[in-house]
Amino acid sequence: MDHLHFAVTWGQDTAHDLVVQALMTLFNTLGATPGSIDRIAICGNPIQLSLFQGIPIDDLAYAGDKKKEKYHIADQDRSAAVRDAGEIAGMGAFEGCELRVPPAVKHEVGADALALLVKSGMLDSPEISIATDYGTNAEMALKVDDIIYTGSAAAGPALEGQEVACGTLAKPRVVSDIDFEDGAFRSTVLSDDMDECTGALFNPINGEIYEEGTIAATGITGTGVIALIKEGMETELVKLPHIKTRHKALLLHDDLYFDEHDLVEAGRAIGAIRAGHVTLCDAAGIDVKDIETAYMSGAAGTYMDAAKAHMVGLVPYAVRDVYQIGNTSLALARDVLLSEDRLWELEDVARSVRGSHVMFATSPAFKKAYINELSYWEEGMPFERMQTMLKRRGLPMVAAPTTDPKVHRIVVKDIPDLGTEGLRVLERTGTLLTMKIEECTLCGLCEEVCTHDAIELHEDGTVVIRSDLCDGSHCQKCIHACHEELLCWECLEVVER
Amino acid sequence: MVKRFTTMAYDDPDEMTFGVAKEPVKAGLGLTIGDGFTTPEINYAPRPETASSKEKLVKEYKSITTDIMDRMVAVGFPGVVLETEHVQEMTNNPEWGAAVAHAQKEIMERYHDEYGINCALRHTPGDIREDRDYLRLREDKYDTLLKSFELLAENGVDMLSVESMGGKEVFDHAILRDDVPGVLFSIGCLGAMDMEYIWKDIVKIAKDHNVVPAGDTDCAQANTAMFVAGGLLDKNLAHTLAIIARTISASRTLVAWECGATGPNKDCGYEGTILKSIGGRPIAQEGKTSTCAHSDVMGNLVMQCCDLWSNESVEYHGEFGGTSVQAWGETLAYDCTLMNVALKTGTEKTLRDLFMLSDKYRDPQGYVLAYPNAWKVGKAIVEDGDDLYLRAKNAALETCNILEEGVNEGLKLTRFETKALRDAKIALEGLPDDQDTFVSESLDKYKKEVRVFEPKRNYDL
Amino acid sequence: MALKKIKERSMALDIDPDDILVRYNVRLEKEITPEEAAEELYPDDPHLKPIAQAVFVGDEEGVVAGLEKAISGGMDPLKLIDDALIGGMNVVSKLYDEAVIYLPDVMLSSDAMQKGIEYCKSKATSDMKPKGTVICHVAEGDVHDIGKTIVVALLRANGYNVVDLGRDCPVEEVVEHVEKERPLMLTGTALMTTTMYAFKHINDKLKEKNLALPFVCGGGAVNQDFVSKLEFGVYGEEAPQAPRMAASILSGANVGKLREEFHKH
Repeated sequence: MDHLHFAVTWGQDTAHDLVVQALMTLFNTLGATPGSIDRIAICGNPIQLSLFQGIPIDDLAYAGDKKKEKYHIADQDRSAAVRDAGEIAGMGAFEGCELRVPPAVKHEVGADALALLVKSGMLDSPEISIATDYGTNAEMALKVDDIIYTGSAAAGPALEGQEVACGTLAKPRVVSDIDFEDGAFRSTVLSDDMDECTGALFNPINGEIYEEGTIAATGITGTGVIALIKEGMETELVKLPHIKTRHKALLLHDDLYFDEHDLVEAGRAIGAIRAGHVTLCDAAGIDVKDIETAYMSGAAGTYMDAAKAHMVGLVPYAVRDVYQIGNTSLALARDVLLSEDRLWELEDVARSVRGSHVMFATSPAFKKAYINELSYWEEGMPFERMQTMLKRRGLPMVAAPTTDPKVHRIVVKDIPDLGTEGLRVLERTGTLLTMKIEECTLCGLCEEVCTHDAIELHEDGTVVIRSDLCDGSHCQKCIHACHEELLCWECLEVVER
Repeated sequence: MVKRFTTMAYDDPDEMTFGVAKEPVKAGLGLTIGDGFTTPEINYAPRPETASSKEKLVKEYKSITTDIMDRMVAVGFPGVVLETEHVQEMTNNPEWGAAVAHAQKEIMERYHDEYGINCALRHTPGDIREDRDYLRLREDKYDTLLKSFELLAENGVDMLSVESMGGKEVFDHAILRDDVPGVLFSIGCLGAMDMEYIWKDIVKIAKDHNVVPAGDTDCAQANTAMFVAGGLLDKNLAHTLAIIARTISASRTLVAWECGATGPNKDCGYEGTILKSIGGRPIAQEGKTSTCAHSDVMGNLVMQCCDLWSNESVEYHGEFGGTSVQAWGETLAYDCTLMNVALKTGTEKTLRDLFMLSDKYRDPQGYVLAYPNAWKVGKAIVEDGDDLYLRAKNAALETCNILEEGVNEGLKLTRFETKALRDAKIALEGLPDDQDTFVSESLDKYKKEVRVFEPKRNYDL
Repeated sequence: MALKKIKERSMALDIDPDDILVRYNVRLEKEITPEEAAEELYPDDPHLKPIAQAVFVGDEEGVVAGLEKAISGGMDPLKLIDDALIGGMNVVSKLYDEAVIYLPDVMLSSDAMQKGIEYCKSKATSDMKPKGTVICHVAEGDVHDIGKTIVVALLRANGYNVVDLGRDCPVEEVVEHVEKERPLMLTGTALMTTTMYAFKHINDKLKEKNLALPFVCGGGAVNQDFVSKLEFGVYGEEAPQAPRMAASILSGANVGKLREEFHKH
């Protein structure tokens, strides 16, 4: 669930408690007692870091200066810091334990983006390169000479599989890739260990299955969506903004599908990222074709087929090399934990980047580029027309990819080294949200539409939502499914624990 | 008594197929129409010179009838309908038509007795209710027309039909001016009123003589619109407007059934699929097999839900393979065989869809008449089934909507067609919400514009 | 369940007709360029046409130059707004509706027209009478204004006078402007989930001051359920609905009617 929205709706203290409790659970699971821990390093976006530390987030919740002024919302200091963990509310027992916090670049661009810059190695390379974290906020950084231009495209969660009817975050038993094979589509499905397994061979026009897959799938990840769009466009089943099948949808196996509405959602996200790249190039005074190297990070950036991402426009069209570098945030936290020097280096980097940060929301270049993208994805404006428009607007040109870049898959999984003990994921780190619906007809639609099994409907009309599973305000499928419009976001209350 | 349709016979368009109607009709010698079979309906016209006397006409029709029955038996077809569309003389002199009917039926009975072939005879007297430039719908000529029906029913005709032409005087004026409200007024209001006037009497005659009051079709208007519209390259009338005239005519032609006619209606207005979706009664249709009479942009599509499969009309003359009625009749019967095989093997929905898809995107007219869309028009009609004006307007507006959506579904329109469609929709949306206002406004307008329009005399308006 | 719905969307078999038939009439129609399509629609008057043309291609300087010439030739600036600028913009919105041109074209033309309107107003001696005023703003605290920018352009393209309050617009400022301008409708957009609650405050203040009017809310964060709970709220899912809503209001629609027409469920 979106942290910011949760904290604003149900209180920052509640959100803070959840973060701290999750950490406590982690320590307990590992058998670590407060006294035995000398040092903690954290990484994350500014919201996450603030929620943990108890720094007010009002300045992050509202981007507009007028509102900030009116309500006397001060911008918080989010520089690199070394603190005593015992100062954190609820962590008194950790007095004497050192807490290392990496800096944020600006408002919406935090340590994740720094991690991207530092861990990609782009800082040390003379090439014109761009790094992009393919997540909800799509942080991106362009390096030209020694200047680094950053931005965040608010691509929306479509690339992580949300806002798409059958979409889901990457998890076991979901479709993560699609390939054209023998006149049909072949899917790749993630196993319980997140390994890629051969899925079904099917006809996307009518959903006919030619060959069953080894694992049944329950959803499509963002990477699967990219692959569907790429293969759809190449087979001309997708002709923007339409899907030219009789159902106006690509039909997969296991009742999964991808329809025109999904296409628009995904297109907006892809368009936001390409518009972001154009905007950074504009700020740097270069052309998109000048970018030689692209780094892809984040879970989506790791599992995505880079060649397909390149074909649909998620990677600058003329790059020679693409590096898929995995979850850089975790790696950065590890660096900071081991070296305090690293932390202050990061602060220097953050400071040097601040001056050349581009706020896309208020950037005229981004606005023009993004409106072009909207028209391309939603109205079917021909690509050539989009190029003409960019030219008229004096913006850097994009083009269709002509050559395939060399793809370097540095990591296979977003957390490359799981250590000897392997990976276990903490369950139930969140809380429960609930409301009692007096006139509930118990139709059960809210449960049925939830792709995350986050919601339970009890026989007395009580709805219980698990915040750790729920996709929150981006999804709201359950809210929309309620016929009587009785289920309501604002009426949900946090269960006291 | 007139009983308006306010509900659909079919809840789901997918239920509709050829050869099966909700209310099959028994007719003639052993034939049941719409009961799991399609049957050819052969139409013909005598050579012009034979119309000079009753004797010549009778002789001509005897040859026609014998030729057809002979060929049906020779190739082994189980059933056939013969339709005689009168030349004027046969209706103007009711006893001429009666003599022809009598002679035809005698021959058919002989074949039925000898070979067991099921057959029925339909006669369609000409709508003779005019006097030079003027319609005379309710005067002497009307009595002659009724007399013709009566004598036909007495002389062996199994099914009575007519192609009534109420509203034609205003329609001819409106269609040449792309005046869609005028088309709506002429077909949807005037045509329907005249239908009610004439069909009450035809149904009574049929009942009195225990024959089938079959149905009408909007030959004078819908078929005219199609004819003026022509092929793809013709630009006299946008095909988007032609189809609006045709769907409006469904609202009009339905009136025969509402007056007690039982089907099968007639073919040349192409409104049958819409009628069937509403009334569930059998329909006759024509398409590729009527190319002897006119070219067609939906030759296969119209077979989708037909019960009788017709050739519109062919002049009687020799061909290499026999006479024209034999050649066209055999073609019709083979088409029916194919459909009947599909019905027997449970593949009728597939064949129906193949027929439909082969022409769905050929022309806007075919697109709207494709059965899922035709059904939608039907639904729009019954929504205001009690109000002749509103239901015709609904049909027209629904047609506009179907076409507008069609453009997203793969239907391609020219700018000429698109513009005409847009203008039509704007005109329709600007029309009043009630019949009285619309009729009185239209009366004022067309009394001024159409010299030959005499509302009092022809429609009691 | 959703898949079933999709399948039901079209039960019948369907095909791509291109391989089995040719609509020669469509094929013969030569591809018409946007400029050719526009050519048939411009006003005939030799003074008005170049201005309308400049609006169509989004040439701001051309618009002002054309107006200058026409005004010095004795034409009334206010009449030029209607005949030349809005006339040119009508061509744009018509061809946009027909998908001959696209949103970025409309944005360029809308800017050019706006420049022209401002120029004409500066030269005019009396006030103009637009077909209606709409106030647009981005929610307090939110700076994401692309949605609003599109809405403003489309409304202007359809001849409405738009008071654009910009982004991060305080609640009080919105209410003040409504009180002053008495517009046909008010629009608010928000992308950040945290900012849309400003709409509720606006709604309450409007109610307090008896300023009933349709308040169209949209944008990434906003959903119909939220908007339906506002007394004046109408949910706008897509920007092109804005001019259609304004037209409905002009022909008498109130909040209830608008919801009936534009809400999804």
